[in-house]
Amino acid sequence: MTRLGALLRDQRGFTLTELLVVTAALGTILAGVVVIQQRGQEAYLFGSHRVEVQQNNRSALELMVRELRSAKSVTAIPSATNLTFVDENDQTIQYEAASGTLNRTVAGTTTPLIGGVQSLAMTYYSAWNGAANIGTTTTTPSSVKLIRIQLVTRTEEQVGSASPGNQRSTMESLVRLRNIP
Amino acid sequence: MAFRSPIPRFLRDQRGVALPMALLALLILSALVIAFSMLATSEPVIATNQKLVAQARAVAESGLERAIWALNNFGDADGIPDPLPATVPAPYDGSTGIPITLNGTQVGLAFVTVTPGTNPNERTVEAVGWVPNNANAQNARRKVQATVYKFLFRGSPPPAALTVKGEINASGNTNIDSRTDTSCGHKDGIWSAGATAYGGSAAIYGADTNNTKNQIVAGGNGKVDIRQNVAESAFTPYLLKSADLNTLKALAKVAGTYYSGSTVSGLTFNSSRTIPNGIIFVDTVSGQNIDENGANTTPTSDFANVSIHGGAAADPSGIFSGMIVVAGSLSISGNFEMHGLVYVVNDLTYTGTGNGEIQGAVISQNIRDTSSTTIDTNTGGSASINYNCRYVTNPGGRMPQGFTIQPGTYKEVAGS
Repeated sequence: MTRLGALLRDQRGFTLTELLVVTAALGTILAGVVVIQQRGQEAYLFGSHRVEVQQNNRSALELMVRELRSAKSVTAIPSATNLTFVDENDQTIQYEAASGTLNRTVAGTTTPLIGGVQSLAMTYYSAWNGAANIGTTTTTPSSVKLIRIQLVTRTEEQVGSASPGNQRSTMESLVRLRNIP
Repeated sequence: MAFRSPIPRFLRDQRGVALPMALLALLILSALVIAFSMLATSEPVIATNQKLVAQARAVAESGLERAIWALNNFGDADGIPDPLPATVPAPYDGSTGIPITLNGTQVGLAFVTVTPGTNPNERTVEAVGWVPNNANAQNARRKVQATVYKFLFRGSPPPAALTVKGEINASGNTNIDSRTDTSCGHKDGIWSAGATAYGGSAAIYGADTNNTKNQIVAGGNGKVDIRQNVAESAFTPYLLKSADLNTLKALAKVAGTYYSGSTVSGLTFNSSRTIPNGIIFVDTVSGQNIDENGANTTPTSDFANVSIHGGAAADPSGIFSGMIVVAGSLSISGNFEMHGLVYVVNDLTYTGTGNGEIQGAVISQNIRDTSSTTIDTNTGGSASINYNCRYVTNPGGRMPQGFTIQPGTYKEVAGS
């Protein structure tokens, strides 16, 4: 009688109770593990997407504000999402948000600056009342002296609205065009 | 016979399954947490950097504003003398940091350097802002640069009611008078680089303390009615330079009273196209200053050609208050009444009628003097110019009266 034969013929095994206990214990542990891992993944998704939207927003807003602060003239303001101006080096620059992308066009060459743009709202002011903290809006490009920029970014990757990865970042800045009297 | 399983004992051992499972979960979770925390720690660092940089820029701007204050308060102990001395006093030579405080707490240090600008009415200011200071290992720095500027005629009002860098022919009932206002010095009636011819009933009076008209001298000093053949170099302090023109352009653009393009080669202001008070700048067709790239580089086809008739003032009083700059030739006729300054880069013709008059001053730069016998400025009819200091130094009340940032010169630059 071979050893293998003995093993195969051995009819002793686990009792039903033993199996049920083990299954229950393993199930409980695995359920815990899955929950913990899911939470961890959600936290990671939340954090990484939050970082992404904030960094996108910050870098774009920072560049826009810096360039506008020393802009020499505003040449076109057709809408709240479209602005053309001449910078300190006499280069014509256009910012336009379309289909979730903020494009920066310099001398006819368009480069996407950031993706995941939920909305861009630029308000153009010809005067600012510091005491009341309100401005007089204008639609004439040459009258623009201050611009309020409100930029809302979301994650570039499409995620469900209930997902923790569905992050938004809203940043706002008011820039005075220092080169315009 | 004892059964011996081929599976090793430790694998068959069912005790302690919880520990490896927990360790595994811990491992996966730790990896996620570490990755997330790396991302998360970079955010506050970036945010802190951005805050420091924003503060440094604000500190640099404070330094710039401080320099402007010092330039405008030249009599103050902390001011900067005007004209600028060869050695600029500290801290405006960049040697010492100016502490910038907020609610009594020092935010940063600003190092400000003031140097002479291209023209006497300009200064270049560089301001470096440091946060928290320039010695701290973890600091931020930003540098801004700007040319600050004072309206040319604020510091050097024109020497005569009618100043022409060319020849003048004054005829008809021309009346030019500098006697009534001597608050910015006794001014002559006429200055001309060439000859001044007068005829008809023309009456020209300078603030020369007598009421005899049309007393004429060539060049020289002292006050007189007509000073002809004045050296061309003597006109330099009263001519608008490129930077002056650009500043006026910027002011006119903001006010919506800037004109350029093909229309300016035959532009007429009258009762159907009026001019509002303020700075009216009629530029060349191209929008570029005449002869900006050297003498005689701008073709005369690029020059503006403007006519102003009576009734052109939009103001209900019928009087235009402000400054008119024409990068080309200007013809004023009819009963046009104005308080302010007329500056014509090329030729001027002024033939007034009725109660038309200019209170202020008129300057013709006569940039193209094609012939020495050309009559550059022709005043006839009842053309009337009365010198008025207030209207000259602050036309229309629209001119910044101290040093201000010259539009187009504000820059954020690298360096310290």
